[in-house]
Amino acid sequence: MGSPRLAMVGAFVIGGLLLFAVGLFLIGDRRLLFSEQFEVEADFGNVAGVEIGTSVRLSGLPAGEVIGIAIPGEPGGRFVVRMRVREDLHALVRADSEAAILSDGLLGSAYIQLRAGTGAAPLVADGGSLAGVDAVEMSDLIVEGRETFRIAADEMTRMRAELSATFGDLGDTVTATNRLLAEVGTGVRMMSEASADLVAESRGLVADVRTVMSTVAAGQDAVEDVLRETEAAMGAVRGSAQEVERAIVRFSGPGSVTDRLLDDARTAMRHAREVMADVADNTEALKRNWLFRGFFAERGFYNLDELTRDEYRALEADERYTVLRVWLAADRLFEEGGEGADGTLMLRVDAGRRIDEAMGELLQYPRTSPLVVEGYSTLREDGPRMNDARRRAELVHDHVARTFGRPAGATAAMPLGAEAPDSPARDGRWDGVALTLFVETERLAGTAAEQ
Amino acid sequence: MRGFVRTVIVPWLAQGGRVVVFAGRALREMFRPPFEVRETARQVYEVGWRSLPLIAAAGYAVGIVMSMHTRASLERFGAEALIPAALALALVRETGPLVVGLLVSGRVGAGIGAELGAMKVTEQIDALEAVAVDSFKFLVVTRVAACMLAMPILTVVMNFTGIVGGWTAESAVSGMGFESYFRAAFSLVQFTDYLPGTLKTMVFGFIIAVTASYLGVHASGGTQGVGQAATRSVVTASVLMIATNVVLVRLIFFVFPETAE
Repeated sequence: MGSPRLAMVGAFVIGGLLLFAVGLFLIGDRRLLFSEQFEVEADFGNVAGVEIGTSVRLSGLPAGEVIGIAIPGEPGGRFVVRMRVREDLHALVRADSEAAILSDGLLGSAYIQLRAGTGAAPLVADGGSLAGVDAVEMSDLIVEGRETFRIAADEMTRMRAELSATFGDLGDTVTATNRLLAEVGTGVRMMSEASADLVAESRGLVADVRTVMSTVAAGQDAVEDVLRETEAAMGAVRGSAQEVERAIVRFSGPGSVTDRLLDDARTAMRHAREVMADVADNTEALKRNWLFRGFFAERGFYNLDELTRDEYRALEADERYTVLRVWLAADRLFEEGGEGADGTLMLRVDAGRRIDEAMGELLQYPRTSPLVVEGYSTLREDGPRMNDARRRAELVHDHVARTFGRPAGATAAMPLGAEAPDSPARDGRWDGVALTLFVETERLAGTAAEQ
Repeated sequence: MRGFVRTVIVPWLAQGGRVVVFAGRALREMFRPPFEVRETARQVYEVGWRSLPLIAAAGYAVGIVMSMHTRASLERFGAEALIPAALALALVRETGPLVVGLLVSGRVGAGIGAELGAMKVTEQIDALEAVAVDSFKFLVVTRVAACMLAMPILTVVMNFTGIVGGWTAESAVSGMGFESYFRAAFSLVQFTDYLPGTLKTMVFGFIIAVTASYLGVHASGGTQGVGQAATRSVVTASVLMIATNVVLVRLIFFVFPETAE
C-alpha cells in the first residue's frame, strides 16, 4: 500500500474524527460545557414539559439549561428545578428574579424563562433560589376559554333583552312624537282659521262703513254733523282694521309666531325623520349581522327583497301571519306595446282604478303589514314565464308604491311563475297578479274585534 | 414434521451457530497480536475512503428530501422554526446510521463476499495458509476492524452532509443563513442522541463484515458460488442489521431513558 493511499486513510480517519468532534462541540457549547456558569434553583407546583436539558432563557436570551428536577417528598410539595446559567448573565439574576415555565408556541417545547431582577435586589448566589411561576397548561386554558364563552353568551342574551326593550321604547317615542306633531298641526290650523275669520270680519266691517259713507253722501249738507261724526267713527274703524291687519301679519306674515312655530315643527319633523332613518339603517344592519340575524328572524323581520321564491313560499306557512290575497287577472290590467311600441308590457289605462279598488280591501289593516305583489304568468317556457311574472308584479308594485305611499321595505314584488294553488282558477294556475298582505295574526284578531 | 426439523431447522441453527462462533473468533482475534495494521489500513481505504462520495451524495440528497417533507408537515402548524432541529434529530438518531448501514452493506458487503469467495474457490486462501499466514486474521479480522472503524466516520459524514442538504433546501425557500441553520439544527440534539446513534454503527459494521466474510470464506462451486456469496452477503447483512437495530434502539432507550421522550 503506497503513501498516497495511507495519506487518504489518515485524512479519512482524522477528518471523520474532527467532524465528530464538531458535533460534540456544538452540543456541548449549547449545554455551556465550555463556559463559566452558575447554578440556581426554582420551585414549581407543576413542571409539565420540563426535563433535564430543557433550555433556560433570560429575557428571551439563551442562558442555560435544566440540570436536575428534585421530586417533593410529600403530596402538596413543590418540585425544585435546578438550572445551569451562563456566568456572564449573573449580574441580571437577582433575588427578586422569577422563573416561569413557558412554551414555544402550541407545538414548541417548554422552556424556563428567567425574568431579570431589579438593581435594588442583591445578586443570587451560586446555588441560590428563585421564585417559580407555574406552567400554564392547555387544559386550564380550555377551561378558562369555556368560562369566557359562557360569560359572553350571558352578555349577549342580556344585550338582546336590552335591545328589545330599547326598540320598544323607540316605538313609544315615535308614537308620542307623531301624536305631538298631530296636535301641533291641529293648533296651527286652528290659529290660521281664526286669523282667516278675523280678516273676513274686518272686510265685512269695512264694507258696512262704505255703505254708511254712500248713504251720508246722498243726504248732502243737511247732515254734515253726522258726516263728521261718521268720519271720526271711520278713523276709529280704520285704526281698528289696521290693528287687526297687524295682528294677522303677526300671526301669518314672514317671521310671525305661526311661521316660527311651523318652522320649529318642520325642523322637529326633519330631525325625527333623520333619527328614524338612522334607526332604520341600524336596524337593517343589525338584521344582517349574524349575531342578531336569528333574533330578527324569530320576530318576523324579513327583508322582502332578499327572499327567494322557496323562502317566500315557506313564509306563507308562518303561523304568525295571516295571508290575505286579492286576485287580479292579467287581461284587465296589462297591455302590450303602448306609445313606445317596443312590445314592452304596460298597465292599461283603467288598470290603476282596478288596483286601487283591490287595495281598498286591504287598507283596513295596519299599514306596516308586508304587502307582496305576486306576479303570475302562464307562458309555456320557464324563462319568458318568470320574466313576464316579474314584470307584471313590478308594474303593479310601482303603482301601489306610488299611489299609496307604503312604508319603505314593507312592499315587494315577487314573481312566482304559474302555480297558484289558492287562485280562483280551477286548474291551480293564475295569469295576472295577486296583492298579498301578511297581517300579524294577533293584530288581525284585534282589527276584527274593533270592527 | 420431524424430517423438516432434521433437514431444515437443525442445519439452519447449525449455520447460525457457526456464524456466531466465527463472529466471536473475529472479535477475539481483533485484540490479539500481531495486528495487521497495513492490511487494516488498506481495508479502511477500500471501505471508508472509497465509500465517501456515495455516502456524501446520498446524505446530501436525503437531507434535501427530508427538509422538504419536514417543511410540508411543520408549516401546517406554523412551526417552521423547528425544521432544522427536527431534521437533525431524525438524521442523528436513526436515518443517518441506518442509511449508511444499508449503503455500506450493498457496496462493501457484496465486495467482501465476492472477494473472499473468489479467493476461496481459487484456493488462494489455502495458499496463504500454506505460507504460514493466518488467513482468518489477515483476511477477516482486518475487514471487520476496518468496517467498525469506518462506519461511525461515514455516519458523521452522512449526518453533516444531510444537514447541509437540509440547509440548501431551506435557504432556497426562506433564505436562512448557514450558521443560524446549523445552530438551530443542533439546538435539540443531546449527547444521548449523538453518541449512541453514531457509535451503534460500529455494530452495523461488525455485522456487515462478519456476515460477508463468513459467506465469502465458505463459498463453494466456482464462479456461481462467488456470485451467490456476494448476493447473500448483501441480503443477510441488511436483514441482520435492521433486526439488530431494533434491539439496539431498545437498549439505548433503556440505558438513556431521556432519548425515548
